Amino acid sequence: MKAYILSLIIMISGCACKGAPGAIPVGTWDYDILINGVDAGEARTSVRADKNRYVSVSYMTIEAGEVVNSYTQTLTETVDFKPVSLKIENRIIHGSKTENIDTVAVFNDNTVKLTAGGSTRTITIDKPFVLDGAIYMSELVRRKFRKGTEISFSVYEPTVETDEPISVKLLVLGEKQVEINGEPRTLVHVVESIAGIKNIDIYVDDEGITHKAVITMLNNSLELVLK
Amino acid sequence: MLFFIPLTASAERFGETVSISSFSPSFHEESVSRFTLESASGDFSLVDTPFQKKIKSVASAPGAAVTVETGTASAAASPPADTASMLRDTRFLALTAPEITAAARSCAASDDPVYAVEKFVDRTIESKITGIPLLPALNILKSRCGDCTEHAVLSVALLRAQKIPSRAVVGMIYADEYRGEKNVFVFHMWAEAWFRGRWRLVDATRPGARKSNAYIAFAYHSLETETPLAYLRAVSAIQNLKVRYLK
Repeated sequence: MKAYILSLIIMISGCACKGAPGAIPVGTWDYDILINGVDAGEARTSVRADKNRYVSVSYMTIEAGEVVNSYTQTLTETVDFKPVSLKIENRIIHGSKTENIDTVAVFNDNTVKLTAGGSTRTITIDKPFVLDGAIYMSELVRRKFRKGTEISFSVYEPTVETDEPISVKLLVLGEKQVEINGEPRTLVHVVESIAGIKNIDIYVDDEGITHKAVITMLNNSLELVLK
Repeated sequence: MLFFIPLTASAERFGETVSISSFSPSFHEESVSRFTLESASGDFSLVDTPFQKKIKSVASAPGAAVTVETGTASAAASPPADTASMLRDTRFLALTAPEITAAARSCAASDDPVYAVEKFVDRTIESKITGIPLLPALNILKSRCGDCTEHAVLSVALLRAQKIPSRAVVGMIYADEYRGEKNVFVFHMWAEAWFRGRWRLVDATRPGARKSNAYIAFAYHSLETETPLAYLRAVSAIQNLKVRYLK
C-alpha cells in the first residue's frame, strides 16, 4: 500500500514590528511543526531590508518516514511591494539520493518569467498582483488588527496557478485565548482564505508576531508553533 | 509565505486512513458499492468520475454528507468531455523528453498499452518508499522510487505520451488491512485513461487490479502545479471524515 502525499499550504505571517509600529517588520522567527500534536519538523521565517527591497526567506524541514523534505522560499519585493522575484527550492532526501525541484519566477511589471521543470516561459498577467510577502502583515499592523478587518490581494503563487494570480484574504476575528506550549495566551485570531477556501487559522500578538498557525485538511491537523 | 508541506505515511503522525462503519464482507462480492461520506466541512463534496457517481448530497450543519456509488456499473462509457486537457503536457510530465518517449514506446508495443504502463511503472519504481511529495515524471524515472503519487504521475506521463487521454485522481482506496487497521480506506492517488472506447482505472501500485468499487475519488489533479485549486478545494473540505458502508 502506498501512502498518499498531500501538499499543504501554510502561511506564516510572522513579522515583527517592535519599536516601529506600521513600519516594515524585520526579524527572524523559529517554529516547531506538529502534525496531529506530534513533532514533525521545524520552520524558520525571516524578513530583511536590502537596499530598496525586502527579502523574505522561509525555510521548512519535515521528516516523513524515510524521507526528509526541505523547502526554502526566497521572496523579493520592492519597498512598495512590487514583485521582484520568487524562488522556491525543494530538496527531497532519501538515503543517499537527493531530488531537487526548483521553481523561479522573475517579475517585470505584469510579466513573469517562470522557470520550472527545466523549462522557462513568459506569462503576462492582466491584473494587478502582489507576492505573498510582507504586505499582509504590514496592512494588519497599519489597521491595528481591528476586529472585522479584511485584507485581500491577488497573489501570484506558481505552486497553485501559473498563469493567473489567486485571491488570498485575511480576516481578523478578534482576540482569542490560545494555548501555546501549555501556556494560555490571548492572541488575535486571523483567518486566511485562499481562493475562497478557508485554510488557515493564524494567531498573532499585538506586535504582529505569529505565535501559532493551524491548518486542518484530509483529517489531519498541522500546526506551526513559535519556539 | 506559502509553504508546501508533504504529509505522509508516518503512521505515528499523519492519519492516512479512514475507518468504515457498518462494514460488511459482502463488499468483496460486489462490483458496485455504496458509501456515505460525512465531513465536518460544509464545503465537502466529491467528483463524479467514470467509476463513481454521486447519489445524494445533504447539508448537515456544520458539515455535509455525500452518498456515492462506486464501481464499474457507474462507468457509463461516455468519452471525455475535454480530451485536450487529458493530453496536455505539464512541467510534471515532460512528454517530449527522450526518456519519457522511449518508455512510452516500449509500452505502446504491447497488446494492452494501458496494462503495459501499469506494469512498467510498478517495475520501474523499485523502491516503494513513502514521504515524497509530487515528483516530476523524469525525476521518477531516474530515482526509481516513490509512492502512489509517483506511480500516478509516471502513469499519466506514459499514457499521454502515447496519445491516450488520461488524468490523475486523488482519493482513497479500500484496504483489508493497513498498518494494523482492518477494513479501512487509505488516502491514495491513481489515474484514469480513455482507451479503445472505454474508461480504464489505472493503478500502477497494483497492476491489473480491477476492483474499481474499492476507490473513492475526491478530485482530479491537473499535474500542472503542486497544488491546483480543484485539489486544494477538495482536500480542504475533508475534515473529520467518516465513511459508512451501505449494504
